[in-house]
Amino acid sequence: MSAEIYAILLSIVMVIAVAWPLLLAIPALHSRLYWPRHLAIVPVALLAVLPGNVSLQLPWLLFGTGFTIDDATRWVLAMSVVIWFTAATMITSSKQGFANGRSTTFFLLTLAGNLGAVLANDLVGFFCFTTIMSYGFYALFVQNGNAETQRAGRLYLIFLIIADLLLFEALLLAAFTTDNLRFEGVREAMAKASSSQFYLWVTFIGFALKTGIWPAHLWLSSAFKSTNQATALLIIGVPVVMGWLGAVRWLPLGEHAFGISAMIIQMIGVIGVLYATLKLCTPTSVKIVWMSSGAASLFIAALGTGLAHPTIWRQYEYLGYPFIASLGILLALLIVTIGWTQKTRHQHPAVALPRVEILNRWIGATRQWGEDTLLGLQSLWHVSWLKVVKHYQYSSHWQKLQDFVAGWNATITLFVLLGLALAWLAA
Amino acid sequence: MNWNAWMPPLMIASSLLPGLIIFGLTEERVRLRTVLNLSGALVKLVLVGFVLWGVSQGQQYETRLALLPGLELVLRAGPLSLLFVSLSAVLWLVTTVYAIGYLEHSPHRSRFFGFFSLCVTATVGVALSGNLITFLLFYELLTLATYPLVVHRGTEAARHAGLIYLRYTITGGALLLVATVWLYTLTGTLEFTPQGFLDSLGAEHHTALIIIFTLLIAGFGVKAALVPLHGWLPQAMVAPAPVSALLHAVAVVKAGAFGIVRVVYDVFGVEFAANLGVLAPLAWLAAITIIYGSLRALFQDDLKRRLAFSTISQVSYIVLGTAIAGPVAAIGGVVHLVHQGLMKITLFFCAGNLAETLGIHKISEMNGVGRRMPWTMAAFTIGAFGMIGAPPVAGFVTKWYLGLGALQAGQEWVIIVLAGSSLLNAAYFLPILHRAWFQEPPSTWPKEFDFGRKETAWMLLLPPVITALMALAAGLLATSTFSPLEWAQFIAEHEFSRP
Amino acid sequence: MGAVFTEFPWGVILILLPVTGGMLCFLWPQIAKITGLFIVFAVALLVVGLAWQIFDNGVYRHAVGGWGAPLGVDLYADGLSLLMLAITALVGIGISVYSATYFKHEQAVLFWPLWLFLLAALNALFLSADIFNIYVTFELMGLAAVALVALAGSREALGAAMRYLLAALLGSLAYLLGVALLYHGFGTVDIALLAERAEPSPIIWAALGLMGAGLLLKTALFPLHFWLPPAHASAPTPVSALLSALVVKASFYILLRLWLEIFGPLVGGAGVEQLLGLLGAAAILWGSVQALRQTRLKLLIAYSTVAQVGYLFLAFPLVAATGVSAWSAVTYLVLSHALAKAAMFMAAGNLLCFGGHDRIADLDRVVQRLPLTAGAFALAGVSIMGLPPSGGFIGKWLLLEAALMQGRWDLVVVMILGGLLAAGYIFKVLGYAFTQADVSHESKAVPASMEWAALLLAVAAILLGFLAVPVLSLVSIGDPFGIGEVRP
Repeated sequence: MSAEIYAILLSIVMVIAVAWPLLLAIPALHSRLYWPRHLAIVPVALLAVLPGNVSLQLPWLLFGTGFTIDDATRWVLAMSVVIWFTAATMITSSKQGFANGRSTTFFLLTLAGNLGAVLANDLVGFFCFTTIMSYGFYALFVQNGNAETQRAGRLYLIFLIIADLLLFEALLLAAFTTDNLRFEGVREAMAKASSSQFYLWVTFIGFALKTGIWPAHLWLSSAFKSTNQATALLIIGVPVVMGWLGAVRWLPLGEHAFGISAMIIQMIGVIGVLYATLKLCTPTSVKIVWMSSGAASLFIAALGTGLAHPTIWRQYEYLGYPFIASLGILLALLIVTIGWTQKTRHQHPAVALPRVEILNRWIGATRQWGEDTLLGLQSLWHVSWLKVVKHYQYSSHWQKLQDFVAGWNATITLFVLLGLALAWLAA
Repeated sequence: MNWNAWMPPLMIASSLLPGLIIFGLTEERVRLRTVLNLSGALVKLVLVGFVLWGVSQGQQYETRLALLPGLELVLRAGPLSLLFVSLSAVLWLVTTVYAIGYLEHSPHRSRFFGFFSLCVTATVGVALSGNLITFLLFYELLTLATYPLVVHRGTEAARHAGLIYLRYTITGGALLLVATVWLYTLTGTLEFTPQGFLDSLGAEHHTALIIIFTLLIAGFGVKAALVPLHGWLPQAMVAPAPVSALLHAVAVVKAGAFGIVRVVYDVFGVEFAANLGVLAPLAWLAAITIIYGSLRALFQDDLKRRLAFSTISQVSYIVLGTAIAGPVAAIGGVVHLVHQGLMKITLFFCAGNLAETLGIHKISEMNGVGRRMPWTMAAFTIGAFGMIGAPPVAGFVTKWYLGLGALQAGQEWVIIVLAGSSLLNAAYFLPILHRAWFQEPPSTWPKEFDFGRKETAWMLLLPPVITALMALAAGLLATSTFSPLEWAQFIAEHEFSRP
Repeated sequence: MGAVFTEFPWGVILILLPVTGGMLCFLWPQIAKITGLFIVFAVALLVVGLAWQIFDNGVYRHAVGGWGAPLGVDLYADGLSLLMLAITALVGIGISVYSATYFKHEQAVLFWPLWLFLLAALNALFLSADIFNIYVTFELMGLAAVALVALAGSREALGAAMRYLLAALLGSLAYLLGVALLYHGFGTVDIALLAERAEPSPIIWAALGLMGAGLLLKTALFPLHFWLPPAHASAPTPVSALLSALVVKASFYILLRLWLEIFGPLVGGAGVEQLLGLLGAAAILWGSVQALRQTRLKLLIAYSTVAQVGYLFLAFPLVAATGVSAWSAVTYLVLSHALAKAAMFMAAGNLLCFGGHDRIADLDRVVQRLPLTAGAFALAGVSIMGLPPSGGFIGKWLLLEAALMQGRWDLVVVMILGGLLAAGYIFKVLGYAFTQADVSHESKAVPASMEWAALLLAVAAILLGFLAVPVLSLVSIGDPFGIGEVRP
C-alpha cells in the first residue's frame, strides 16, 4: 500500500471517528443497536492505534477547519479512548436507570465533541467542538441528577459561558491578527502581536475556568459529590483535560517570554497546588476534587514556566501531551479506585461518595465560594506559608493532614512533588 | 423581448396573484387554497433560484415603471435584494406549510392566507426596490397587509394590539415620507446607488442631511424595533404563531432593518455617512437596543414575549453591523438578516407547536416538555444556541464577523456589547432548555391535543425542523458556495468597495 | 370617420343629454332607472369622445348657436375640464349602479331626474367659459343637491337640507354679486376676456371677496363647513357620495378657475393665498380631529371630507412662490378624493343597510360578513390617508414636495399630522370591523352590485396611484395652470 493511499484512508478514519458518534447520537439509530456507546468508540480506537501522521483540511466546514492526527495528539486521543471506554462500560453495566436513550444521545454528542476537539487543528474547530462537548456534557451530567447535581450543573454552565465568551474574544483577537488560524500559526502570530498580553490572559482565564482550578473548582466539588462514577470519570476526561489541552494549543508557548504575566500564572499554579494539598488533608473535603484541582494547578504551574521561559518549553515540549494524558489517566484511575473501595466498603452503589458533612448542604454555594476565596486570599496575602500552616494547625487539621499523607494515598504527595519540581525547574 | 425585465415583476406576482385569488375563495375550498398557496411559494422559489443563478453570472434584472414625471418605480434584483428575497421565498414556503397545519379548522382562512400572501408580496417588493420611493411604497403596503394579520383573532386584545402597531408604523411611515420627499427636493433622484448618491451635495446641506438621516432611521427604526420605538412588537404577539414567525423573521422587522441597511449603504454611502457623523450614534442606539432587549427578555415568563424581546435585541445586530462602517462588519450585519430569520422563525414555530399541542404559553409550564416533544425541542435548542452565538449554529458566524469587523474598525466597545448580549441570551435561553430537557414533566399539560403516536401534526413539526437544520447548515457550512455568508461577501464586494 | 369625431359638438351633447334624460325620467317614472343608467353610460362615452377631440385639436371651444363671446354662451374645455368631466362620469357610473339597487319606489322616482339634472349642471359647469354661465349651472347644481339631500325624508335630513339650502343660496348670491361687479367693471363675463381686461382695482378686491366667500361657503372650507357634516351624513348614501365626491369639487373647480385666470395674477402675493392656506391647514386639523371624535360612521366620513378639502387649499400659498407641482397635486387630490370618498360613503351605506345602524363601535365582524365592503372601505381609506400606492399618495407626495421646496415646514407638519389623524379615524373603523360587538344585531343582505360599485371605485382610487404620468400630461392640455409644463 502506498503512503498516499494510506494517508487518505487514515483521513477517512479520522473523519469517521468524529462523524460516527454524531450520527449514532440520533435516537432512532442508537436505540436499534446493541452497545451503541462502545460502537461509537470503535473508529477512534482504530485511529489511535494506527500509526502515521496525517492532516486533513475541510475548507467548507465552518470557516475552513481541519483535523490532524500526529504523535502528540495521539497521546490525548488514547487517553480519551480509555476514559470513554471505561465510562461506556460502567454505564452499560450499571443497573441504574441512567442508561436510557436520551443519556446515550448526550453521551455520544459529548464524545463527538471531545474527539473533534482533540483532532481539530485550528482555533475555530477546537472552539466549535468544545462547545458541542461542553453543552453535551452538561446535559449528560444533569439529566438524571438530583438537586445537588443540578446546582453543580448550573455552576458549571455559568463558568462555561463566561469561559466561552472569553475564549471567543481570544479567537477574535487571533483572527484579527492573523489569517491562519491553525494552532502553529496563531502561536507564532500572537507571540509577536501587540495584544499578546491580553490574548494570554483571556485565553488563560478561559481555560482555567473550564478546567476548574481554584477558585473555579466549586462546581467540581458539588459535581463529584453528587454524581455517579461514570460521570465522575467523564468530568476528568471531558472538561478538565480538554481545558488543559486547549491551553497548550492556544497559548503562544515557546515563542515569547512573557515575564511578569508568566510569573503570576506560575504563582497561581503553585498556590493552587498548595491549597489543594492542604484541602486534601481536611477530612470533610471531597478528595477527588482537590486531586483534580491540584493536578490542574500543577499543570498551570508548568504552563507558567513554559510561558516564562520559551527555551525550556521548547526543550520539553514533547513531554506536554504525554503529561496531560498521564495526568488524565491517573485521575481516572483514582476515581475508579475510590469508587471500587467504596463499593466494597459500603456494599452500596457508587452513586454518592461518602456522605460528607451535612453542613455543606446547608451553606449555599455563594457562602462556600466566599469562604474558599477568603481562605485563598488569605494565603495570598500572607505569603509566609508558615501562617497558612499555622491556620490549619490551629484549626486542628494538622494532625489529620499528617495522617493522611502518611497513610491514605502516597501518590498524591508524589504528584505534588513532581509538579513542584516541574514548576520551579526554570527558577 | 427582454425576459430579464420580467423577472422582478414575476417574482412579485407569484405571491400577489395567489393572494388575490384566495381572497375570492370560500372557506370550504381548502384544497384549492392549499394548492394555490404552495404553488405560488414554489414558483417564487424557482424564480428566485433562477435569478440568483443569473445574477451570479452577471445578468441584470431591472424593471422600471413611471410613477410620477421624473420618478420611477424601480424593481432591481441586485445581490443585496436577492439575499432578502431568497430568505423571504424560502421562509414563505415553510411558513405556509406551517400555517396550513396551524390554522386547520380555524375560521377565516381565506382572509388569512390572502393577507399572508400580500404580506410576502410586500416584503419581496421591499427587497427588490431599486429606489427609495419604491421602497416606501412596498414598505407601507407591508404595514397595511400585516394589520389584518395582527388583528386576525378579532378579540379586543387583538384590536388593541393592532391599534398600537398602527400607531407606531404609520407614524414611522409618515416620517419616512417627509424624509424621502425632502431628499428628493435636494437631489432630484432617489435611486439606490452603491456608495450613495449624496456626496456631491455641498456642505451647506449637511445639517439637512443629518436631519433626513435621523428621520429615515426613525422611520425604519420603528419596524426594526430600535429602542425606544420597539413598543409595538411585544404587543403584536397576540397574532397567530405563523404571523409572529413571519413578522419577526422575515417581514416587518426585517423590512425595517433592511431599510436601514439600504439607507446607510445605498442612499448615504458608508463613507459619507461616517463623515457626516451619523453612524456612531446609530451604532450606539443599536448597542443599547441589543442590551435592552435582552434585559427585558430575561424577565418575561410568556414564551412568545420573551422571543419578541429577543427579536428586538437580535435585529439590532444587523443595524450594528451596518453602523460599524467596515466591510467585515457589513458582512456580519447583512448575513444576520438571513441567520436571524432562520433561527427566530424556528423558535416561533416551536413556540406555536407548544401552544397548539400542549397549550403551553408560559415558560414556567415548560417543565419536561422535551420528553413529550423531542423533535420540536431539539429544533428549539438549535435555534436558541444560534441566538446565543454558540458554534456551529449560524449565530456564531454573525457574531464572528461583527466582532472581527468591530476590531478592524477600531471599535472595541462593540465586542463588549456582543459579549454582554451573548451572556444575556444564554441567561434567558438556557434556563428554558434546562427546564424543557431536565425537569420532570407534569402529570397533565395545560391543554393537550391528541395527535396519536406522533408528537404533533407533521405540518407543524416539519417546518421548525427544516429551518433549524438550515440554521445549523448556515453555520456549519458557512464557507461553502451559496451559503448566506458567501453571498454576503459577494454583496460586500459588489455593493461596497472593499478596501 | 375621424373628422366626424373631431368635429362633433361633444360638449353640447354632454349637457343636453342628461337634461333630456332627466325630463324623460320625470315624465315616465317607470323607465327612470333604465333611462338613468343609459344616460350615465352614454355621458361617459361622450366624455371619451370629447377627450379624443381634445387630444386631436387641443383646447375645445364651442360657441353655442354660433354666437361667441362676449355676448353668446361659450363652451370651453381644456385638460382640467376634461379631467373633471371624466371623474364626474366615472363616479357617476358608480353612483348610478349603486343607486339602481339602493333606491326603491318613490325615492327612485324622485332620485333619477334630480341626479340627471345634477349631472347636467356639473357637466355644464365644467364646460362653461364665462362666469355668469357658471352661476346658472351653480345654482342648478345647488338646488338639485338640496333636493337630493331632502330625499331621505327623515327629520334630521330635512333639517340638514334646510341648512344646506340656506348655505347654497347664500353662496350663490354672494357669487352673483361678484359677477355683477365684474361685469360692471370690465364689461364682460367671459373668463378669457376678463383675464385680459381686468386690472388691480377695488372692484377686483370686492369681487374676489364676494365670490370667494360664496365659493368657500359651498366648498365648505373651515370655518364655513358647518352645513356639510349634517347634510352629508343624513342624505341617502348615493347622495352623500355625490355631494362629497363631486358637488364640493365643482365649487372648488370654479374657485380654482377664477383664481388661475383672473384673480391670481392680479392679487397674488397680497396674502390671500396665505389666508387660504391657513384656512386649509385649520380645516385639515379641525376636520380630522372632529372625524376622530365621531361615533357614527357617516358623520366620520363627512368630517373627513372637511379635512380633505383643506388639503386642496394648501396648494394656494405653495403655488404663490414658484408654482411647480402644487396644482398637479391639487388635481390629483381632487380626483383621488372623489373616487375614494364616493367609495367610502357607499361602503358606509352598505354597512348601514346591513346592520341598520352606523355606530362604529358596533360594526360587529363585518370583515367576515361583508368582505367586499370592508375591502372597499379599507382601500378608499388608504387613498384618504395618503398611503402608497394610491392616488391620494401621489397628490400628497406632490404637495409635500412643493412645500419642502419652499421650506414651508408648517404646512409639512400639518399635512403629516392630517395623514396621521386620517389613519387614526380610518383604522378606528377598521379595528371595530374585526371584533365582535357587544350587541349582536339582525343583519340584512346587501345586494352584490352595491358592494361591487363601492369596491371598484376604491380600486380605481388605488390604481390612480399608477397613472400619474398620463393623468398629469392630460391635465396640462391647454396649460390651465399657466406654467408651460406640469413639471420643469
